[in-house]
Amino acid sequence: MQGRNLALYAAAAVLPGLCLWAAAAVVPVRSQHLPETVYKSVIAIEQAPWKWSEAKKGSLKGSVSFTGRLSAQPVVLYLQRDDAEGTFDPPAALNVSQKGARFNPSFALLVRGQKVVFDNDEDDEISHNVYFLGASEVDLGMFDRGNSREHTMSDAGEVSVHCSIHKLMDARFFVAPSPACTTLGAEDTSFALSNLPAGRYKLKSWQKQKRFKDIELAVEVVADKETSVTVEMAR
Amino acid sequence: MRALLALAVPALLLLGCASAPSRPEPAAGAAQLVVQFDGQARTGVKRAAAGSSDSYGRGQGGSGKAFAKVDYSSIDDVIVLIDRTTVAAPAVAELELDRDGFARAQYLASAAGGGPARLVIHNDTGAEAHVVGFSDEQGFEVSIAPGARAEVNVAAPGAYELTCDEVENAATIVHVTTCRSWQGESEDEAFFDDLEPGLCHVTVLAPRLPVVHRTVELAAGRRQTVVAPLTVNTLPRAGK
Repeated sequence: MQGRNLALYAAAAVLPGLCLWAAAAVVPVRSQHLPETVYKSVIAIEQAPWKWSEAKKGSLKGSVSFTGRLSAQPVVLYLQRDDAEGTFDPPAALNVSQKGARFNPSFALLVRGQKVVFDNDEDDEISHNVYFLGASEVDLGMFDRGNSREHTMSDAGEVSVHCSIHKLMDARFFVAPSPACTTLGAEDTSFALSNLPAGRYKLKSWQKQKRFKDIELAVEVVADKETSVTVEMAR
Repeated sequence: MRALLALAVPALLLLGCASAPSRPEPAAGAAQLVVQFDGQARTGVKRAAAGSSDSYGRGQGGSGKAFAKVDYSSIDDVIVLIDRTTVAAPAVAELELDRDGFARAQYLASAAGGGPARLVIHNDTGAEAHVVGFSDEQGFEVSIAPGARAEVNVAAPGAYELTCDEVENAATIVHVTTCRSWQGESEDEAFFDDLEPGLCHVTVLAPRLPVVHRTVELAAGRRQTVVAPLTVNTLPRAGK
């Protein structure tokens, strides 16, 4: 009897709160006129059945200048086709260490379709979790020392990588639409991309730390020729 | 026993009311909104045995700063934006920059009455600092003498990524908005008063966590409560 009364009293205490919650009628939406999330959205890619391996090839080279102090953080240059993208074999899987509660490497330029393998190679019995935000938003689960988790990056764009347990365990990937991409180091003033299918592209940039306006230059890759461009990263 | 319970339950309810923030009742023609935060550790994380100082249980140790753990009961720098226009008292973003970077993962600056949003950047790096900020559309660059501060007016709303040339790891986000907004810790509640009734879109931004979007129907003379889960448990599971 006492237990039943206790339950009734508890219900009386909790029910108003439940009614309030039920009345909220929450529905997840994405509102257009609110500022977007800090994470970049997926780069839309139109896919076609033609094969990179069978296309006529050209190359692209360029000089790069920066109107300001260049970060030691990487800058990525990548091509995005004006028409539909062909199919290609992605590069080999990237292995990421988690030793010492750090992702190593903490930055990677990946290609759409490339696999990433996270290895829990801790010396001690420490579990990790991996989840992505950005172009891919998934949770790869919890896994103990000696185990690994792998994921194929099917969408292009920026992906931030985190562990839900360790608050300083972060990494950032940029997944390029195709193998037509390169990373500029702190001292680089030029780049070269070879073995590119002929066609019209946009040359675009992505910065791990955004210190300059991102570029978007129209370029044409011509079969059996080398195209030259000048890239200025300005503020 | 029954008498004891009859006294105890109202007393507990009163205690609960006493600890809740004191807020005005909603005006007859206006609505109020409270956004509460529910931080949840990822399911499957091992819990400690009673008395252990390690909240993640045996096998979740590791020494050093790198092994610092997320406290889902207290998440800093949470921002709430709702689709009601700021009419007064815009928020000024006060950014503290030192040799370790910016003090916060994200900041909030709101604009009102068609005016710009204001950012104030304090340079505590001990040297001159060149700070740049870019959204998708706009950008700015400012040089700040050591120990000085700079004011920046930003007219276009958006998420501005800020970095500093001289401090390699300095990176933060300033959300510039014309919306009614709130910034604080997840232990607190975001409270909005004097809102126009009708559908209201709520966006919750917490560092390292998925963005939470909610829609709530606000009624005149009523206070509505929305709970925003701050967790990775809402993410789809993948990988093998």
